[in-house]
Amino acid sequence: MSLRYVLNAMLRRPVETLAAAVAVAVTVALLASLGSFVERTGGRLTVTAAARVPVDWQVQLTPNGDLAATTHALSAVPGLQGLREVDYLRVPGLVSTGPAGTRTTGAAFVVSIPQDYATFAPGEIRALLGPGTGVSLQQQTAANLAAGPGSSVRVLGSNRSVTVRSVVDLRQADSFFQVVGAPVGSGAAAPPDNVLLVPPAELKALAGTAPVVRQLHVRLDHRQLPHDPAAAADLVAQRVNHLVVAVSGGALVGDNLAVALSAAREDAVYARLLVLLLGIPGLVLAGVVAALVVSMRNERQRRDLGLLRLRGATPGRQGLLVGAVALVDGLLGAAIGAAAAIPVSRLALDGKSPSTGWLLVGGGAGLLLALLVELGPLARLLRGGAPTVAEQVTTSTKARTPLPLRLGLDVVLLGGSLVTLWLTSRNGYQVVVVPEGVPVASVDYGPLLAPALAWPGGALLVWRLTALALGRLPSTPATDPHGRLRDLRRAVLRHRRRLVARGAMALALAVGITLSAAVFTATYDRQARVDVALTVGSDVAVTMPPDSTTGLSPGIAKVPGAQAVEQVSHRLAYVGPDLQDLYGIDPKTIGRAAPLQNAFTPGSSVTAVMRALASTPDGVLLSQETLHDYQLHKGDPVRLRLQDASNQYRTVTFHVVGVVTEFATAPRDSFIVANRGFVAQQTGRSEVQTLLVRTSSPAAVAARITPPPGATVADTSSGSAAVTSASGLAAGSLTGLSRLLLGFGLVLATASTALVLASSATARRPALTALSLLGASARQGAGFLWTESRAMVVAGVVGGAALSALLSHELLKVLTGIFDPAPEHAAIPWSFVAGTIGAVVVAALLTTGWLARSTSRVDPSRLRD
Amino acid sequence: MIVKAEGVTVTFGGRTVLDEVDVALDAGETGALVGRSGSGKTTLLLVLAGLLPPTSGTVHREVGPEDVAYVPQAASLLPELTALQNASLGLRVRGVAPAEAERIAAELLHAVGLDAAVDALPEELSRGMQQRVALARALATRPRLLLADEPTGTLDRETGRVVVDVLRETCVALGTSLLVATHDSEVAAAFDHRWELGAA
Repeated sequence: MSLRYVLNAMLRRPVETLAAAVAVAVTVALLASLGSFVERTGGRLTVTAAARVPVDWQVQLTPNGDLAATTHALSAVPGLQGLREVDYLRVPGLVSTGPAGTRTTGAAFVVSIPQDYATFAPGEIRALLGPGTGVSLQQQTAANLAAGPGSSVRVLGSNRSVTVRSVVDLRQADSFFQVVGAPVGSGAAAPPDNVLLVPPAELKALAGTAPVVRQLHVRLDHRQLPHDPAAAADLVAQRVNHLVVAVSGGALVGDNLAVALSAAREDAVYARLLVLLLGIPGLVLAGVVAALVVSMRNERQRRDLGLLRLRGATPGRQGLLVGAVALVDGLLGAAIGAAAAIPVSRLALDGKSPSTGWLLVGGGAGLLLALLVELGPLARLLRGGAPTVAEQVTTSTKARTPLPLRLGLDVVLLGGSLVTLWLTSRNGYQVVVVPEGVPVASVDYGPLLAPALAWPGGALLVWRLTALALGRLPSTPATDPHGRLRDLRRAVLRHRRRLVARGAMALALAVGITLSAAVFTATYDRQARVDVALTVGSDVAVTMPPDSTTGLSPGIAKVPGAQAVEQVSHRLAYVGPDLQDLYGIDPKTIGRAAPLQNAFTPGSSVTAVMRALASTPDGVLLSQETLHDYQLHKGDPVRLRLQDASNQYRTVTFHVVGVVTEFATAPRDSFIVANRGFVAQQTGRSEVQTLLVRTSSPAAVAARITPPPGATVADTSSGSAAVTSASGLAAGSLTGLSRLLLGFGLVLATASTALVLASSATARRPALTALSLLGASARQGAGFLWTESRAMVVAGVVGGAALSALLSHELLKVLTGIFDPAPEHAAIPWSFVAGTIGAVVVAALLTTGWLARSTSRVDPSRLRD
Repeated sequence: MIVKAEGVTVTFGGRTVLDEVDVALDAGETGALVGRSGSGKTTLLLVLAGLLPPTSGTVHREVGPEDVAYVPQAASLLPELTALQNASLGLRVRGVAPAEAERIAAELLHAVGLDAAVDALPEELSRGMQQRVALARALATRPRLLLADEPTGTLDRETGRVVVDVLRETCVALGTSLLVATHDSEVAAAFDHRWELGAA
């Protein structure tokens, strides 16, 4: 009997079975894809973070350390790819003698690196002049000494001279010269200003008996790291601990890899939070849609159960039979969902399929969902709680005001949401806190309450307001010459206002969820582009090393496709003993090519600050840190030392006009922005080291630019630009999650519209049949459906748009830590918004049209019931 | 004959519900189809109303569809409209002005004894009252033929008798031919004609 019942249920009503299975499948596919996104994001962040590290460990021998023993211990480390010895010698200074005279630097580091170091640790050293091997001067040291390839440099303390072969840029100088073993939280030490790289044999000769710091630079196989950045950081830390124990205090380890992975943990947590805040509402909506689909067969199920009862089936037996059907629906849904998740994930997540684990989780959830939504109503039917058809026909649909609204839950939830938002945002909170050196990322879930409360609160408010508005519809027209029955349609609508409002609430939720996800991801994408543009400098940037005496001609960037070219002089200036980057700009025109946001100039708009700088030739913008450290205020004079045309440092007096936190191509720490013309005039040097190019096709324009020797061209479309941008999440972007959420959101919003309207019209069928029997035309009968659909869709779309505006605002506030820089306002993807609303309206038109057509005919079989 | 059915047979999925049935009713006459549940009464009414084509046999009606009113067993009132609005619905769909339609409907409600319930919603009315509103709604359009399916089916015997009496008297007064389906022989006894339908 069971098998026959299940087969009958499936084969005699294939559309119902398929609809239920597809509804479950949507949930399965969404869950599996979201899980996949989280897993993949973690993996991508780990890979990206690890890829940025040229040297994973810097193992420094202690005075009683033994090189052989340490090397032996390292050889036992799983995944060891290679190691090189790098020794550091501190000397009193370097001296060069040239046409401009003799120059002497302050204290310097002479570092020995093996011949193949550039291959061993690509990304650590970049050759600027010469082959990049052999005796090399760091770029700034070369500038200080006015030396280059072929110059002779004497090392003070050894009285030996070496001949320079190359000038190089040490791209990871912070970690390369880190104080290994410094306690956590002691802060990074500034890298030395003067560095000479030499072959190992040369260092021995230079050092003599002087103490040398010996390090082993180690590279590990990153493919062996766990996907999750936190787990990867833990594993690496454990291996370091094991190594330290193995060498019995003979070495200290500078763990660059763990530091990078630790930073990626924050991004991984944010990715999870995004899925939580944007994905979970989508999943709930998918579950509701599945329940709606299944509920449409409750009436037939009720009749089937009546027949089963007549045939003597016990309630348990009935439950078993319906449960078996639910199981089949669930299995079918799980299979379809899992099969759909594969192409969906591939499409959305860069061609990657979801893992088996997430497919199983999705399938299991689908099975559970099918059982819950199908057996739930059954329990009600078995208890006799479901109304019969006759009861439905004659029972008033004037539902009571629901309990949540009577309790004022909408106002309470929304109020709670706004208060939470205010409390958490007024003091510059952080949702995710990842303390350095602590293996666990801490998440402050408090602020998340704001959007979590806004979802239900906003939805309930839509319910309340819709019911209120429909209850105040004007009464009746005095005449009805065309028999349109407007007064009766309004009377019915007024009477059914709470049910219509409930449908509008469901639509508003679907629209709100979809649009808020769209606004959030559009804002994110825009900020990610700004982030990358900040790193690059503009859409395209041509750069020479700072203080380079070879300038760039703006003509080289004036290629087809370039919309604007801005010249920036990149100099190095001493503020007291600190050497900082100084950017000479034309403040009136810099905005044509460089990204400018108010967030760059705290306390004032960026336009006002640029105007102030333009009107103050000797004006200068300093970082907050510099202002604080030197107790400087707006209007104060500040004396900077810059190199002039004779490569001598000379003091120039500027006046502080404002504070700047970020600027195109500028580093994250302290830097200076000044008027390019004034800097040139004071130093007698007008070379331009950077050209910023605004274009709508960065890659094409970058390809057309022929840089002079020593210059590099970067553009926002290149992967390296994204990878080196500040935010790890920005590096990968949310494209995958956006595609998933927006795609499923569109499907769910459209399906919700169709289902809510269909569900409502199904309940109206007896009344419409009565109208037909009275001789009402198809148009008159359909008028009742169209009136209700129109009210529901208008309220749902307007309510959904309002809900999405509130939610987008809260999401952007709560997840502000993701953005760097913070967005000034939300980006609204108008085409997607219009597309979603259009899809909802079209779904409403098609559904109502189809329902109107199907209910316009009297079905004798219903009258025979 | 206002309606005449000859040799009407209806089968559903191989099951014969009506087998060679003959019925004829003249203008102003009343008749009753009597039979147990499942005997095909509703099916025959649907065939006579033109809502269901017979498998075989012929049906002849002197009147057009607009002059035929069919009242299903369930009262089928619109739950959101008052008794007066429900009773005027048949006229409204025919384009009668709201005020005129309500005036006629009020008269019919008066005729079926529901003066006091004009502003009540269906859920505020008893089953018998709901059935009377449905009959008033059908009669308000002045049909020449009224087909009522088990108008007393869900009512107690006393209420059923009242409803049938009101219905018959109103139809006679309006000159409307009336054919009801009922399982109650006592109810059928009051009509001009009666046809027994056997269980299929």
